[in-house]
Amino acid sequence: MKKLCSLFVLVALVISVGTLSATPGWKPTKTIELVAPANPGGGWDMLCRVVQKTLVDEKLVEKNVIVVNKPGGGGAVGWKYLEGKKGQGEFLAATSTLLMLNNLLGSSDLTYKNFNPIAMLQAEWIAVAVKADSPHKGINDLLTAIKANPSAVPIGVGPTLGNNDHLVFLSLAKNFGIDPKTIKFIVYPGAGGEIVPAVLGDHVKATVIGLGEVLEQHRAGKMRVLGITADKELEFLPGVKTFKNQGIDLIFPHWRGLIAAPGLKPEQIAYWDDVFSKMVETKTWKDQISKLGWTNFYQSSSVHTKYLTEQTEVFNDLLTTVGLKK
Amino acid sequence: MSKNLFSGLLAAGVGLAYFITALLLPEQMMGDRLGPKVFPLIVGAAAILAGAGLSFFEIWKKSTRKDEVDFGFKTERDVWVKIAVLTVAGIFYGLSIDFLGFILATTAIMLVATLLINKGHLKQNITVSVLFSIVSYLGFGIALQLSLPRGLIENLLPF
Amino acid sequence: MQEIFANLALGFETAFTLTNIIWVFIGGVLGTIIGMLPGLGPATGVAILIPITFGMNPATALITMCAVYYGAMFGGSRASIMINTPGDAASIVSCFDGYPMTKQGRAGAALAISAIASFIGGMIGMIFLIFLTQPIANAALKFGPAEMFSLMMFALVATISLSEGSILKGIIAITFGLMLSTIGLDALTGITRFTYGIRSLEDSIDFLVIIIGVYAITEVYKNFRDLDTVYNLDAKSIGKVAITKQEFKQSIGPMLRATPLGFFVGVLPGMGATIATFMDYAMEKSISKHPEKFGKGAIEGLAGPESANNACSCGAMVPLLTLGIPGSGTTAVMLGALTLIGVRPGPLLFAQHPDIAWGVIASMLLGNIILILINLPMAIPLVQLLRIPNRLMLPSVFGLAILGTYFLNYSSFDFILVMITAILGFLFSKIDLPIPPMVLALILGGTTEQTFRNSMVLSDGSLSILFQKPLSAVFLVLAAVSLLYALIKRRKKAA
Repeated sequence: MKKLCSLFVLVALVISVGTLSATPGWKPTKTIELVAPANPGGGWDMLCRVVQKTLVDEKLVEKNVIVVNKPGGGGAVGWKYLEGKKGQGEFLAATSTLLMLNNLLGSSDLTYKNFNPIAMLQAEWIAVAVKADSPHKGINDLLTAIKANPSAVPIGVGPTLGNNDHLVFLSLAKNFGIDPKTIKFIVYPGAGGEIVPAVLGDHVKATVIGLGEVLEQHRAGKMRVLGITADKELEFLPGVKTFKNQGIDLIFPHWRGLIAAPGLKPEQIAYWDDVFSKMVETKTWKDQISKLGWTNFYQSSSVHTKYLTEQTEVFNDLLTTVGLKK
Repeated sequence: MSKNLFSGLLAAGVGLAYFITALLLPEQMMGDRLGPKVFPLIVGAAAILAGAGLSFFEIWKKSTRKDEVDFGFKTERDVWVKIAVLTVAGIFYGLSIDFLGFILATTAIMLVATLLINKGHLKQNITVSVLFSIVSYLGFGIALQLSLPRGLIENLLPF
Repeated sequence: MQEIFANLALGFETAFTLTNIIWVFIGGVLGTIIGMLPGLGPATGVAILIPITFGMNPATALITMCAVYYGAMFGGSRASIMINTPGDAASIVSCFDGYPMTKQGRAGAALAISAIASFIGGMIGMIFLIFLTQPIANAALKFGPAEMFSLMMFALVATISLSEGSILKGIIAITFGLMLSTIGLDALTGITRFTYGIRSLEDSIDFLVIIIGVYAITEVYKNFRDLDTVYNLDAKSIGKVAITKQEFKQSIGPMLRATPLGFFVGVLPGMGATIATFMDYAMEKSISKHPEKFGKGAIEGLAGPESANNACSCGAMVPLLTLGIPGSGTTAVMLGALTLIGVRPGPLLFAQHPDIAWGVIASMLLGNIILILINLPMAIPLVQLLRIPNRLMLPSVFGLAILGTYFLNYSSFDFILVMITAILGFLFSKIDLPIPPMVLALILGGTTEQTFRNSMVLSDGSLSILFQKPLSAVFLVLAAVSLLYALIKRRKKAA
């Protein structure tokens, strides 16, 4: 069996190498546009800009690369723009779990099937954090307090309910035996920029948020990260336990990646697979993402497509369990 | 009808339509206890009250001088014709820009606007329109690197 | 105290290199130009710069971005004064008296005072930033949802006093603005509201589209009646970009009052220069001895808000420098750009990178001086543009408005919105329904609703939270007082 497997891999390798070298190959013929379906400053925007910087600095592409911000509709505006660029390999857009979530929650009819998934690039772990002088030392302390009196423990979340962060906290609560309906969520559409001051000003008792947003606060001793959704302790964040270490079985990467316009030819996808597999190994890329508190999480086009198929199922179940989807 | 009465009735009418729509909104969602409905209901009610109040005062103190509303649909007909043309041109610009491209669409709408407002100076108008679109394309599309559609004449552009 | 001066000296050492001064100059000019155009604001300006900053050292990069931010603040009001078309939301207020001044042939004075007021607001704001950063950052943390909501109510009520005529009409205008702000996806739950089946509306209405409609395009329509008039300009005074002693005396009080107000509003998370400028204008009008001149070319009505606007952008730097969190859309972009070039601002920025933190502060002082040196001479050719006859000026304003609309979201649907709101703006002017309260309500509507809902969640549905929090109660009382004051003043006038 093992032998058969390796034979398969070998054959696949030969074929893929063969196609790479045999076909004339495709190269971008005009300016490459990275579409960030959000305003400048957010996660998607940062991903596009880091990719732009790496591609340019490491000379991985020959054409000019620009970032285009198309905010709106929880990403839908930018993705719709990409959908209209049928067959043009020069257009890539940032994507994340939100593409699935929006569809599953019924606010958008777009799915990954409308596009060509190109790569998953990074994951940002989600953290639960409190103010430094909070009595809660671990996630279980916080959840115990919520269980006792949910009204006294408001949780800050943003930019909307039903996003990854919200979903993580609901699953934590569910795991702990808390009725998700009783939790008091205070929603901040300005996300981190509003949530961090709200925690520091004691207006909410805890927040569930992307790790990057509270990393510097944690290091400065202003806030404390109670736990993260990672599978193991992070190198750059010693002493902070995962939820799994604290007895709650929840691993949840908030990944981001890139999709391309629909109707691409295999050689166009192969071109990007080649570029991005090289890009994630560069020093520029690794430096940048560690500064942002992100983790390298590369999947090539085909692996990513398969992953998306599985994850859609997983998310569907999760949303139903926590009661966001009926 | 006086200006105040018109404004009052308008507010009451719009407010009522808004209020009724708000009533049809779903009650609440998980983790959101007040729901998306309460704030619009308050706003709608405020509009109805303010509108009704304004209309009421206006009818009540009828003796004061009249400030009649006049939109000038008849007296300023040519103004309204110009507005109508520009409105259609503006909407058409939005719909056609991806197909025509930034330069063609902008030249076209500037031609419409200048021909409408600056009658009888054809040469001047053409110059202004062409210059306006090319200079703005060079400034925004090339210098500032905003992504502007090139459209139909994509392959003819030297830049 | 000594420590502060030592640090400042370090800052100047970092900032005063030839490269930095050149970049401040370039950034300032670029920002001024971008700020002038409707639809392109400081956030876009900074975003455009990001690729250029890749190769810079962090201090130079941040200094350049600040210069763009500042330049946009200076430039934002140019278009308001010249063609009644605000370059961004914060310069709407500059239209109120700036444009009437232009019509009276005082464009030179208006442009001069706007640059001077921006300069003074910026300089005093910087002094606050140097000496008061920490205490003010801590004070701002006290603002929870209830305090924010009450502040919003105060700001909205205060705009009623901006316009003449019935108070009820002002309230109607506010409710219209709030209604517009609820259209689209509800930020908190993701439910669509008031879209009546139109998908494009789900994305909410971009208030900048409405501003372009009701100011720029409506202004073009209003001018259709007298197409052949050139602005009534005195040929001699046209090139004169200066103010008289008398005008300066009138403006100095408003400028000094506006600066602390603007600065503090800028520090609050999620607040912007728009609310600061509106509140300051309302304040100036209500304490003025001749409020009837406001809106008809009162120089005080232009000077105060201009200072507030620039002081506000100093204030917005406080959360960025002390906590590493963005206080405005523009500072969010700056934060991102800094991360890309290797500095992640956080609570330790002053401790770990004092050269950068203080270098930026020093460069902002420098930038302010350079910007006024750019802006005063730049006003001279700008004023000459007013010689263009109306029949060529109007199509150009219309064209700029169209381009601005496109640059906002590249959306076809926005053109339908902008054309409809332009007509509505024209109709509203015919029934004397005031536009400013409606626009402010539209801008603040989202935050108003969100803070109201969050307050109610926090208090388990009891309105008493708004009165129990002392700061919140103060704002509500202020709101009530300003409403009463407006009522009494109108009674007196009527009698």
